[in-house]
Amino acid sequence: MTNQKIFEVQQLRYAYGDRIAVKDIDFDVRSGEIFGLLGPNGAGKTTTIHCVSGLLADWSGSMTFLGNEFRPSRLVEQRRLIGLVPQELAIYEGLTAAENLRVFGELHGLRGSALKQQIAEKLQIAGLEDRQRDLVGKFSGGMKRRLNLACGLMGDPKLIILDEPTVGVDPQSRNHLFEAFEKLRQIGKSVLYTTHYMEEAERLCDRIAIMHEGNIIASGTVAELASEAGSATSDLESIFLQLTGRSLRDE
Amino acid sequence: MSMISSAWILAKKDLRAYFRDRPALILGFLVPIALVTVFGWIMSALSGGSGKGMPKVALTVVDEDGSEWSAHIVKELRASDVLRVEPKDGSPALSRQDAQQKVRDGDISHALIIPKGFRFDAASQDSPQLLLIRDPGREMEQTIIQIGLIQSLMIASEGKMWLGAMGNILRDAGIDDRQIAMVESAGLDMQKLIGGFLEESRDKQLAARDEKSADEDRIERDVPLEGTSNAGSDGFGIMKLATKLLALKQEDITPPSRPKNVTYQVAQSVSGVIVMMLLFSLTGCGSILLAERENGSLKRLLALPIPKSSIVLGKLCFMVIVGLIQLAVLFLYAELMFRVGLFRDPWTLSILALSWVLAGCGFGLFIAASAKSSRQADSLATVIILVMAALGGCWFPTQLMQLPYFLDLASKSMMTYWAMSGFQGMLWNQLDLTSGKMLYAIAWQWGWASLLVGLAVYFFKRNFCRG
Repeated sequence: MTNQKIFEVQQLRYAYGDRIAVKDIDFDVRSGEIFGLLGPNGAGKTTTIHCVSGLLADWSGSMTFLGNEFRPSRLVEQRRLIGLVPQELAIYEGLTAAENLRVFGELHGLRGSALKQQIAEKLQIAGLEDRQRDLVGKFSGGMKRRLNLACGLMGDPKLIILDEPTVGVDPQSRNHLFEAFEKLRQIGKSVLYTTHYMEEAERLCDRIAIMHEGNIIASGTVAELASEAGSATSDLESIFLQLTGRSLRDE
Repeated sequence: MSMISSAWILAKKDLRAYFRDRPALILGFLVPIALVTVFGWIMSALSGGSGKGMPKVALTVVDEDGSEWSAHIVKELRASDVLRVEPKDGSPALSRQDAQQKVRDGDISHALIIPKGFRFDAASQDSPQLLLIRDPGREMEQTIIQIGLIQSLMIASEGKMWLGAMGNILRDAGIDDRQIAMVESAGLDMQKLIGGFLEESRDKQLAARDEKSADEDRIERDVPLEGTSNAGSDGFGIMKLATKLLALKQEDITPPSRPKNVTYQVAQSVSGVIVMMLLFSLTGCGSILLAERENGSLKRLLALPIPKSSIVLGKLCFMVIVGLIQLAVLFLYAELMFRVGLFRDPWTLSILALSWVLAGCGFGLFIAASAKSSRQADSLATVIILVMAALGGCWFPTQLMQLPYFLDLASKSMMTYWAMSGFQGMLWNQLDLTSGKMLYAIAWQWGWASLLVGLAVYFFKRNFCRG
């Protein structure tokens, strides 16, 4: 992991009408790190990543990518820098695994041998080399999740946004996905990771920002969060509950 | 728990959910109401709006005589229960050439020319004869028009036409003029006798009707009485009889390239099915956009380094290709089954097909982009397509309908109307790209396509690309 900030957000604010979903938050993602956005339902995690990935445009504040102003909703080329892996299975069940990857590769402008090479790489990351010619409709939930990830990696984006990527996945597939995420870090990719699974964040994330009611209420490594929360334990779940409270949250 | 108790609990649950889904509820009730209204109007329009069960058929009349006498004939034609005389009172008159062109283009099926100097009493001798310009393939209209002509012209001639025609028949049979004059004199006496009998009989029937239904007092002088409206069944060669009785000349306009086995009904059915089914199919294709939003794949597409409008354009390309393939298959099947001569003019067919596919794609995309959910899109599309199909003439020829002004205007603004006009023009009237009518129909479809694709892009940006 290096300390170079590749992506920085300052005073990001977004409102749905009168309701402010994200309230002037600051965070940055560094080269080769997995940065976790952890928070209860309705904390503003998804809105934040929608702003970052260009799905929402009317936000205020500033975003910079490698020191340059970042407005992915308006500047098409900037969207090449990011790879979104949505929470939903955003893949085409009527196509094979390889055809899915081909579609997203071609939409990133890849052709010929470069495209073939990336398809092969991503199939390997997803562990689907043997099933590449099978229709996705016949895949298990875990296989679809892995393909969902692989599609988001096409085009080799510098920042990969993973929105709750392990929802509904069996332990074997989850483990495979974790290995894939760690591999991404090893090859120098930066990852913005949202989840509400504490053990995932604890295992994978180099740094974590805890979001609560649109604000980032604490950020840093697990040790730094424990210190900030004044917690005697380094257990992330305890820290999280201490910071966000124990009352139930609605979406 | 008993089966009935558990069934009732489940039913209550479904009822609660059903009545809470307001849009579905509104559509569920509004759709049948809308369909009943539109089809009620159309069926009423098909029966001339009179409820008498007999459709009024359009007959274009060209009055070249311009005399009081010819005006009297037109007045009687207008009073007919089965004819709808065009142009309407006060509208600009047509020339004989206009009428011929309209029959050739399929805009009208029959035109009656009252030539200068036409008189009933001399019709059989030297004066010009009435001329009926017709498309002989339009059999359904033809039978009704013949009935209407015989009824109206007999009334207008006060029976003289009958006698003149009878004289003609006798003269043809070699009987001399003195004997013919005697027969005509006897005929006049007979006419008076029969006239009196008919009057009496009519009065009796009217009285019987009045008794039957006191509030049905709207019966006009020329309401056909029982039995009279069936008198014109062509089973005994009414056209032959009509030409003799009416001293009628006929001018048939049939495109030389029209295949002999093609009937107007086949051309109408093939065109109607092609136009309507393609709309259903393309709307289904367009709803993939909604499915992509619902399954999250649109989110990923919107985050890709591609212009957002390319997503709509991509859908349009997909739909155009699917539409063209479907049309090609339908054309091929129709040709094999009915030998309608679809491939006689590949250029016209291709451009017409492309125009309708583009308009259909515009419609499908517009529905998908403007609807909130797949369910809403399906309901909306079904209603709109059925109404457009009915009003546009996919089910019944619009010329048979006598729509109120605003519905007539609506019908002529529908994209289905212009698609039918194009396909019917090609199949039946054998029009090609040199025909103004065909180009006009194509232009309307392109206009609709542009408008709907434009609206689809607007709604896509508004509803799908938040912020």
